Amino acid sequence: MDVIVKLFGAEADAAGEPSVVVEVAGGSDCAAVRRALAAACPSLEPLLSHARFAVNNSYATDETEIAEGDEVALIGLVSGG
Amino acid sequence: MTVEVSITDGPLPAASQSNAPVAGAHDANTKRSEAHSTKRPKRQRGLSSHTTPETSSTSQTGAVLVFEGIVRAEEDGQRIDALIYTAYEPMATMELTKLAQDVCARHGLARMRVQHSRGRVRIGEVSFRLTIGSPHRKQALAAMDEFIDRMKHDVPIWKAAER
Repeated sequence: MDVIVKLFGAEADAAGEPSVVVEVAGGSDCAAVRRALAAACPSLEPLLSHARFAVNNSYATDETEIAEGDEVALIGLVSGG
Repeated sequence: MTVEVSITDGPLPAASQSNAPVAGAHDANTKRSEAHSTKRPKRQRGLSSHTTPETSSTSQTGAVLVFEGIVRAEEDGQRIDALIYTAYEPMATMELTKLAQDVCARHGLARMRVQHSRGRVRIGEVSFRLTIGSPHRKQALAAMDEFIDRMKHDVPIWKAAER
């Protein structure tokens, strides 16, 4: 299945895009999406180890499974305030 | 416990619509008028709060803190014109709300209001305001520090310098 990963801040700058589409097997977890992102967009790789995923607007772990249609975002270092 | 969270476009408006003076200025003016008048000075009923009435009017509130984050002229040692804030919504509002509720509960606060900007905020303008109403000072001070530290770690809001 295709997963659209939304990007912000330094991650969006590194990718040059506000989102990246990766292909993973059905039932894949966030760890698989992380690996797919590194392969699809090598410029993101240095930032991936510090970034978290959010699935459907909640922070997820590497073990969180992604379902078709889920909203997935990569959340790197934030800088509000 | 009451929590209010808002993320709005552009700089935040002034903290208060009232022009009530801050405590020190109020004291100084009062003393000066008393010294130069032979009339019996008016009885002072207490200092006016410069915070919003809805925050300070609850009977549980004995301390009100207001923190304002203001855009500086320099970011990472370089001159800037403005900061551009991006928020991942609705997650940013959801995370701010969860954080505010947790910090209020942990510190026994009566009220918290969180206001954050998105979009362009120029030098000298306010991009973030945290207002805390608490029964006691120490809890309010500790809560303010904790909230801001955790916000800067967990809430999906980013800023970029415009030069």
